[in-house]
Amino acid sequence: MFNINKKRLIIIAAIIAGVLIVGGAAFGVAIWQSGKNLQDTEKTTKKPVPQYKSDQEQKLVEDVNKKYGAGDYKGAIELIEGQQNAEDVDTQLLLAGAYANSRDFNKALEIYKKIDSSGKLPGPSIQNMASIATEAKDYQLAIDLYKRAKTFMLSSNERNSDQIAFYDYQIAELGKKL
Amino acid sequence: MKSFVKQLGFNKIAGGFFAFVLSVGLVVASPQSAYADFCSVNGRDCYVGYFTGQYDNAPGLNVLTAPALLNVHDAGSLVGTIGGHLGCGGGQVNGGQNGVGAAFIVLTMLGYAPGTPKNVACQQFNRWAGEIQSLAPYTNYNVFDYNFGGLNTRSVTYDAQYFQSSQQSALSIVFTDPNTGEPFYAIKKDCANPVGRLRPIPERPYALTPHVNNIPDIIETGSPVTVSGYVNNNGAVISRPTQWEITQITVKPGKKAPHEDENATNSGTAPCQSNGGAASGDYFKSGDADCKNVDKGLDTFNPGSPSQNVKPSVDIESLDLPAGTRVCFALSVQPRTHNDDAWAHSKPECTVIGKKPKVQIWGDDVAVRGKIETSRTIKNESGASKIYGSWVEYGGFAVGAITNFATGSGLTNQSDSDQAAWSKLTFANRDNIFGRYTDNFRPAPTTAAFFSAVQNKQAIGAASVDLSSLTFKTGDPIQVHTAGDLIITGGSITAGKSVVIVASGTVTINGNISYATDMLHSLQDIPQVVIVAKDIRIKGTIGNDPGVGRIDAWLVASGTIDTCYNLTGNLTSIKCSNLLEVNGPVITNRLILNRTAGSESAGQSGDPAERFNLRPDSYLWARLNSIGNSKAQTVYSTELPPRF
Repeated sequence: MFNINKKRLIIIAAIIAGVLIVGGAAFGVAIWQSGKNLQDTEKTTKKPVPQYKSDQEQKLVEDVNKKYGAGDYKGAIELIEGQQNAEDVDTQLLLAGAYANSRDFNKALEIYKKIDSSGKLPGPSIQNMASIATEAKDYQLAIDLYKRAKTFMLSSNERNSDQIAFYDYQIAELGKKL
Repeated sequence: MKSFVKQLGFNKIAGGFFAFVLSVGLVVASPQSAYADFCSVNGRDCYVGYFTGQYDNAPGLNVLTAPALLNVHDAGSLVGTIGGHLGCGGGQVNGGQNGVGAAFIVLTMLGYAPGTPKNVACQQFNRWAGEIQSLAPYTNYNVFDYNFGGLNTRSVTYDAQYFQSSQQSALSIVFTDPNTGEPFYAIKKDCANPVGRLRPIPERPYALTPHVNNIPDIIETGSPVTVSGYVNNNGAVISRPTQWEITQITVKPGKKAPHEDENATNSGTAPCQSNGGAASGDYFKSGDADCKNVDKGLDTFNPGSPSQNVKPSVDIESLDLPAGTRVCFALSVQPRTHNDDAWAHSKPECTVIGKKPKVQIWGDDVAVRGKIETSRTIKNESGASKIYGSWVEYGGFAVGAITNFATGSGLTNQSDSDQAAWSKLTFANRDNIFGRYTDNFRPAPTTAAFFSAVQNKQAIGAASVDLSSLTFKTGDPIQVHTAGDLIITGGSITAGKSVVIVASGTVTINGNISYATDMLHSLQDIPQVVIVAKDIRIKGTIGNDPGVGRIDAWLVASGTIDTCYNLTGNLTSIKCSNLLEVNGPVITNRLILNRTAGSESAGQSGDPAERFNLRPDSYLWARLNSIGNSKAQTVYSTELPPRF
């Protein structure tokens, strides 16, 4: 009675496999869709900000500086965080600066650490990270960063003996605070 | 197909080679031009010196050595740091990196073009410092991560250059345009390198207009005066540091101060050098006026009309100047606008040194059926207050109020300005008001009726007479000389002679009437004059006419007694200016006191213009004529408190 021949068995197995594949894909799409909806919801609840294309970076910087001039640090943060390219390194550095200027040095340092751990922290920005670490009272980190800044300066074609002396001074002063 | 691809590959290599050669060639041919556009926005190409215009790409230094501006957190410390590096001994910028760097900052902030000699920074330092101070509300001295886009500055010890740095942001001092809110200049703090697009300090238009107000029309000589000024700032920004001066201008009588009729003027000339004023002129000095500075200062003026944060004023303790002198005050400010270093001068506001003449009554009370209101002067003499005014030696009685009039000689050496301190013989003070003797006021003496009733009358028969021709012997029956209107040219009455005049009209006294000063041995020796009239008018000093200074007589008027009838026009301190002494009782319906003598400065502050003195000779002469007896008999004596 159940004498199904091989050919039919293969057909049945293929049908089951097909159902499983299609069903799994449908399930995956459903998960992805709900995740996307959640993102869209988050985006719609944030205040819309002007968007700057990649070739308008300097304009973004100017507008951020204008907000600094008006003391609107919160506005500067919102403007930067609202950019579609907010995750770019340059935009993240700008955001870290905005947090630092709003006196949230811990948040600024968190952003710098994230960039640094990804290996994308530009050499000239090491000094900035060091000064923010100082304000955040992470003196050991600040010392380490000034040493790295000095190494970078020594290898740079913008080598400046005054700046090297400045790094040495900062390292010495911060050492007293440990 | 294969051959086609091969052909493509070959062409691609050749094309790539040419592109490489061209790009390298471009780089080799013009090593500077790759940076020229980036820096030239600040007026110089990259690596080209601001002062010398020379290209130098040797390793650079910071604009200022450590600690540069790390310890600068406000305008004062920035000015101090830059000023210290400039030096400016002998008007020369200190040599070396820091002097050059400080000069670069000062000159680029003020908008001086590249190539400006660095010593100009010394000449303009005060102006720069003033701008930094006034920009303080628009400056953030600790922008932690200011993004300047890589346009940086460096020093090569003898000059400063722009260059493109890989560093894009840093801890900076950021100056913001008060008009637009945009950053216009920034300086990295760790190195003092100006960074980014550098614009000069923006023009912030404003204009200052000074004023003087609340100057009284008349000030008594020796009195204090407060000179109040204010400044209108019609701009929307705080002014630059502005020097202000208050000038006192002493003007000859009848003349005007310089620019007195002009409403607010501008000039490159300072108001007045004398007494510490700014040295560049005497705007308020002329042939008719002298000037001196009485106060000065250096402030910024907030926007407003008037500016509320600074209102220059000065208290002048004593204007000890002759009466009739005109004194004016002016307020001046400099610089007058955001871009004009001239002075702005207020319209001079003027006062006249005047007098508050005083009257003294000696030897008796004063009784008035109206009110008594006189002036009071408070002067500062050697740091102590002194009070001067009119007074009576004994009691003061008035139906109305008595205001500022002292009784019981209360103003002798008086320093208390409270009227209660010098009103010990003021009666009756009802309802807590000085004076107000409202019940049973003393009746008016019947002197006029007494002499009018005398039967022995003789008409004078002349319009003008010297009293010495009308005498009768004292002690004899009274002889009354009658007249309608009569002019008395004067009279010297010898001992033992008397004159009684009863006039139905006006008696005009144009000369002194005086009693002999011989020793008197009996009541009959007493000289005495009695003048009874409707009106009595006395000549005062006008011009060269000396007027009447002394009247020894009783003055009894049913109408008016005028102490300076020949006054015309407004009363001034040079008219009716001689003292009038009346030695005898005075009874009148109305008393016009127009004399202006006395009330000078210092020890003459309390000198009266008129003095009425009831002397004992009047009592004794009256007693003699009332009883017909040649003796004055003591009938009783009583102890009285001492009078000083």
